[in-house]
Amino acid sequence: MASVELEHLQKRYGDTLVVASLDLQVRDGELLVLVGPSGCGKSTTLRMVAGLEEISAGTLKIGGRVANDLSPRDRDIAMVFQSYALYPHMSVYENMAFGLRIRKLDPADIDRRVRDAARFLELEPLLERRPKALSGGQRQRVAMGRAVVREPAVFLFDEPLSNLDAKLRVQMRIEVARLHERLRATILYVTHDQVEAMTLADRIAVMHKGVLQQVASPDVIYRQPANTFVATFIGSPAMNLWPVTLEADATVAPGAAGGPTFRADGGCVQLTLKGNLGAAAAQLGPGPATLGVRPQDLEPCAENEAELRLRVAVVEPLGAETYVYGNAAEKPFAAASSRDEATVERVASPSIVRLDPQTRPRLGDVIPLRLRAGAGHLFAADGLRVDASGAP
Amino acid sequence: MNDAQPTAQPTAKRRGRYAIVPHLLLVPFTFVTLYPVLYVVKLALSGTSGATASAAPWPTRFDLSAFSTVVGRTDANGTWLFGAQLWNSLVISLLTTVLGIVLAASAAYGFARFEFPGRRVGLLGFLATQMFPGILTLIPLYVLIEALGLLDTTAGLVLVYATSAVPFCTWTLKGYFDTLPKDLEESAILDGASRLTIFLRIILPLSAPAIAVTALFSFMSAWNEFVLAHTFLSSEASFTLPVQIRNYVGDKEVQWALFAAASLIVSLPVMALFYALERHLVGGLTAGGVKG
Ligand SMILES: Nc1ncnc2c1ncn2[C@@H]1O[C@H](COP(=O)(O)OP(=O)(O)O)[C@@H](O)[C@H]1O
Ligand SMILES: [Mg+2]
Repeated sequence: MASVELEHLQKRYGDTLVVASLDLQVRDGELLVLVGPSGCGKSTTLRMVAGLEEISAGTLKIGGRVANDLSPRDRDIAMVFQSYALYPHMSVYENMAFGLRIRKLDPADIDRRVRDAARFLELEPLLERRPKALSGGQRQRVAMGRAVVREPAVFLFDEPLSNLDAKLRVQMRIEVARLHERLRATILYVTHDQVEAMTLADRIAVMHKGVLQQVASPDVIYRQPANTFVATFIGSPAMNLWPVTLEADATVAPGAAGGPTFRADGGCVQLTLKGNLGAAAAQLGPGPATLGVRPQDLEPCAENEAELRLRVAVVEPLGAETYVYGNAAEKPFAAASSRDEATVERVASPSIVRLDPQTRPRLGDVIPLRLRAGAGHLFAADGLRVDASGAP
Repeated sequence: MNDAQPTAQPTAKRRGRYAIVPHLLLVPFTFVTLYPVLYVVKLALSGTSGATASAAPWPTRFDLSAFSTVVGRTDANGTWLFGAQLWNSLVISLLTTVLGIVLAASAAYGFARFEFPGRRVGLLGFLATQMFPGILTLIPLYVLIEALGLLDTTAGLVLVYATSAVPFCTWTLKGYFDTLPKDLEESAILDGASRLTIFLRIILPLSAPAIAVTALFSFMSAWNEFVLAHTFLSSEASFTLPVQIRNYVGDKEVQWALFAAASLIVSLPVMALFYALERHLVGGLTAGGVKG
């Protein structure tokens, strides 16, 4: 086992910067998921760790040892490819044994390792088959088995589940978790799927356009996203973001702390900021900002309490819950104070709300909504989340 | 030739009716293609006594004496000439194939996987050699082979054949290597395999169909080659079979029956090879279109 440290790791192809000065540490025995949209540089990062891609700048340490110039085979890593990359002309057994034979292990040891892995991955009846005669899930397990038998210090996974159908993906996700549980190995796992990231990771590293956005536990990533990108990328459906203007609310008496109470005015979304949001607004001061609210943090309310009114465009009943997509209604708010109607008639960005499964709004309905107590995030103009409770 | 459609579904039937027109067109083409072959069979079976002049392509006699004469030929010292020449042809063709494949496969892998100065020029150069008629190189090759002291030898001919087969084989194999997923090799690299191991244990086994095609090509071009062999070989015992065939067409007398019988004998191994490799060939020729 070993840790992996990326210090200012950089990759450029000619003039294109694909990975910008990445600082990341995978701790010993940790499963760290590197997540981000397609093309953001995840694979490139992983391949630099594997030694399949040259490092343009920065330092890579594996187990405390600088590995920049080590050949892939001397890095003590194993990688599971998205395409599985099984050798088509070899049986399952040979596929798993190949790397061990190359390293000239004792045949008895090879046999023991292959059979152990096959038992754990339930591949025993398939050992003599060729990859062509396996299902997608079985191939995936062989690919994992091939890595496991090597007993490497570090496992690298590059989107290992994205070629599987939804049901199998869930199954294999559990398989990966089980593997990590059993081996307690250091794993760097790349995916574009935030559900995979949330369910598997000890810690998540979110990447966007070659730049690392945030590294934290799934819980922190979800509850305290560092910026608007992380906020919308993690969580499904995505968090609603509304551009708002913060202004001191003269109609309300100064809060206990003495500062003014702030209102957020986004045209179609208007509310008085309380609790944490109020504190964040106070920290940020008057001016433009972005208000972020997850779909489940909006609740239907009486017309005169509405902070947002959603005109229903799409209804997605999922059984356990119903998602409603729509645009904020054009009409001014009943609760809106003295504002001129014309300024309020702006349409906010498309918004999503989660409702009880019993609620079945019809298309065109207007639903009055308000924020749940304690919900919502404020982001500064540069997209960074304002954390009133201390440092982000 | 008959269009036997096993299923009688309405659509299949309709398609069957439309197929009549192409088939009507194909019949004369088939006849034109087969006529010379049939005529050679007729000549070969007409016996050493001489051919009838009729233009009909089907045999009028069934006389195998031409075959026994061809196979039984000996020279003044009692050396079995046919045996020696068959041996020459086999050895030269097989060595050409092996040498050609070894050179072409390693060159193709280099071209397919590595960036190096001269890569493009090398590939285009290989292509360029294919644009000129082979006869153009006859005299320079003769000078070279003579300088190497390899005239009238098996080695000389193998060298010439193998090198002239390399460009085509390299292109074919490179095309196939390009279709093999890079992941496989990267996986093997992480497994700890060296380039050579990867080449020998991953790339080559996976390229069996393409190698079969190029091997057959090399074998056939060496087996059938006449002009170079005729130029470089002088003693009858070192002839290959095509050179011997030509010798049945003498200055004064043309032994058509022997010529035809020998031609058929020479064709047999190639036909057998085609038959044996048929499945691989289809796989190899469509290689890259579908990846297994
Ligand atoms: N050899 C290359 N030359 C130039 N650009 C490349 C090369 N390989 C990858 N890229 C670019 O690098 C970016 C990141 O690629 P990649 O790491 O594969 O993304 P991800 O795995 O996150 O989807 C992409 O925009 C891709 O176009
Ligand atoms: Mg990728």
